[in-house]
Amino acid sequence: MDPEALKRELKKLILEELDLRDLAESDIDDEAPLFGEGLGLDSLDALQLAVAIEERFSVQIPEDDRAKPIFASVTALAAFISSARSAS
Amino acid sequence: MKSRVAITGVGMITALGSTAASTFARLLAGERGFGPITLFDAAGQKSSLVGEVRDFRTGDVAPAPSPWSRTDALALVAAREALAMARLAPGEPTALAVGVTTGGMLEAEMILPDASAVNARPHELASYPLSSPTHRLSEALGPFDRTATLCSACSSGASAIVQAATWISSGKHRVALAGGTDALCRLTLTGFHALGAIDLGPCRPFDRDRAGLTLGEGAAFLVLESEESARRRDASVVAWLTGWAAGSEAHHLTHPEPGGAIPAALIRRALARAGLDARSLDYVNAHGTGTVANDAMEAAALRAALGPEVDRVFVSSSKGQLGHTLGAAGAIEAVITAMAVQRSEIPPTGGLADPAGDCQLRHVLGKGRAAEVRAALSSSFGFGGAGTTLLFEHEGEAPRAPVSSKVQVEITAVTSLDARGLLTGTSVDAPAVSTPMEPTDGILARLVASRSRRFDRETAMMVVGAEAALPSGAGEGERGLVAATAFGNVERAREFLRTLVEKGPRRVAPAEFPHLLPSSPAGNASIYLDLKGPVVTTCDLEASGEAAVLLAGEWVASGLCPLVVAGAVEALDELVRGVLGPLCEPDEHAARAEGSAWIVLEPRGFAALRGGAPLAVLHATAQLARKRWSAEEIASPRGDAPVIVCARAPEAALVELLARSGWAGATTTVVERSHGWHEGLGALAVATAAARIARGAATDALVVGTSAGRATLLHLVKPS
Repeated sequence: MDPEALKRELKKLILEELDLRDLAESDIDDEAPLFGEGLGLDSLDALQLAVAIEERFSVQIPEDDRAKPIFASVTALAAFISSARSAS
Repeated sequence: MKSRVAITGVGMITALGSTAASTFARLLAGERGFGPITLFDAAGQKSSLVGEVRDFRTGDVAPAPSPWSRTDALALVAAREALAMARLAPGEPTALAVGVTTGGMLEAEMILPDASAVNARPHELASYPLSSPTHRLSEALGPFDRTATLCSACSSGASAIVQAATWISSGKHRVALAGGTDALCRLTLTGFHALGAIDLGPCRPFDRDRAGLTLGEGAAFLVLESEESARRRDASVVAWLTGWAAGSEAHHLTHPEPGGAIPAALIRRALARAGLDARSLDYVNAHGTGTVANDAMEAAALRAALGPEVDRVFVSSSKGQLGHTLGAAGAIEAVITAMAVQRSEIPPTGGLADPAGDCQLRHVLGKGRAAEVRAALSSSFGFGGAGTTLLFEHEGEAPRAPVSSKVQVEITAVTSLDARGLLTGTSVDAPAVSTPMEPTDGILARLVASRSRRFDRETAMMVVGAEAALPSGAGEGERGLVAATAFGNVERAREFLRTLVEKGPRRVAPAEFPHLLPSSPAGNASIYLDLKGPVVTTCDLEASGEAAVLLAGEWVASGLCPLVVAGAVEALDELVRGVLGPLCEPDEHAARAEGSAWIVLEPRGFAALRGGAPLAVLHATAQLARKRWSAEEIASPRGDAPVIVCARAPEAALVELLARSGWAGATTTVVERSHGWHEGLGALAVATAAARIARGAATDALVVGTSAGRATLLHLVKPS
């Protein structure tokens, strides 16, 4: 999947899984942090998103501190998914 | 209002013992009740370590062939022990309050996801309603005139004790039985694991390395009794319950507010109610779950509430030995706290080796210790930020003169969200329509999207209805919530369980779990509406709506909370319509409808202070077991234009009773006939009654609800 399409799919997944029904894909900046400031998402959202991404993209997200940089932004998430899929 | 409540009997069954005495002895010895779960196959779970009650089978105590749940059976064991210790026969306590959260989930959860299993064995869902343990105990130990089922997540057991204390201290009842009960189940083990909230080893409350909770199960009950009754019977008193408080954080569904401001206020208020300050407090049995966030918050709250005395007061958490028993925890820990007062012995915190820097308290490590305990506090905090504190004192304290409170309760607002749309005030008494209710999107559109994420239809209906009822700009003062739902959102729980069965525990939606507990809609509503008073979910099958208003009236009358919004919500649910309704409510009903009706209750004069006027006065309330029905118990109407408003047609015996009472000849409106049926319809009946009085069409209105052999009576009158 090309990186832009992957990012679009990720944004759609984020909006759906986290019930961000007042936001559109264009409201999510590729580079902005997903949690804390910005979208106002919290650790419960992070858990939900991790399970949804693992399910949708058949990847395994580590449960320890290594997960943090993966969720840094949509771009970081897309990069992780691409490399995890090509590795498997 | 300084009346004392005597605790004259206690009972508990836990992972460490089948009696209060055996559990307490093993707590003092520092034993821990953890091991791999045997109740069900925990394959795929990250850990199967739990505090299970061993060598206990439901069939050992449940009267066959009725399908009791494990939660029901655990409750019976503890309740019997408490009655025996108090030397009371079944039927002597006239009131029963039960806190519960998982209820009959253990028995229901493997059937629910499978439609063919539901159709083949529907009776296995008979204990699914949250009110099941209450009704089972009523059958086994009753009759009780007054019963209440309370769910405030992990503080449910403590909420039940507060309710019973309210009954005793206000003089409504002389002897009450109150407690909490919950069995382990797959749903909670899976859900807390999904949240990353479970320590993979046994939990370590307040420890530097703490990493979450360990789940447990059990039940505990206490006999609460007026001082006068206890003295007359020459009952021996375990401890005196002299202080209590309940409130909510209105912060986050799963994360406590780090500063612990509301918990600190609840600790101060329990002390203040007892007329004590921190210098008299010797022990705190903390909520102490072992999660990073809870324990640090609790240490901060204790520091803020107790000031420099915090370094002197012993603190321990029983969850390091018994696990987190959810709906039972508040009651189990209340029993432990009362026994610590009685025996001058303080149990330790199991699993605590190296106290964390953010949990600097006077911990009890390893084994229990002897110490004078003049007064001790038990704290409970649940999902949604629902907190309760209970203060117990030693028998040696001098009695304080009981002062009865006679607060008149006004109904100051009513709303109904139903097929007619959102109606407020007198318009609630408008004719019904036969169109369906608006779709969920339309209801959600009335709410701020970013603050109502994951709201289901019930929750959205609850928040829209309650918000419209609440006075605007009344941010000052605490506002409480009593929300009724007979079965909860069964479909949502079923979906979660379906994923568990089909894909395994690692694939469930973590964010769904805290939203599908019985207490979740009310928890969400308290956060959305910034309600910081007590928040409780209740249910009583067909009389669920009436139950909510009854509880709220008692809260306001007794001074527990100065403003309560009470009501009920039911949305259409296929399992309720097709299986649970017919199974649990054998009477004939009209076609199912949906609705959400809300009533604001305040002390007399509060509405006038805002420049408003009350719609009606909640003049009298009563609940009567069928065996004790008598026309004399029903107060006569005060004015010359009385009406009776019922959710459903009263049964023949009740009609006969009313015909012999002062209500003979009053016209009866049966709401079900025009609106269709749901379990929360009693709230609409109350709202309709208040609206009818407010628009001058009646002087008095009697709302009558019946469920499980008990009548609930709410008498509304025109404001004088």
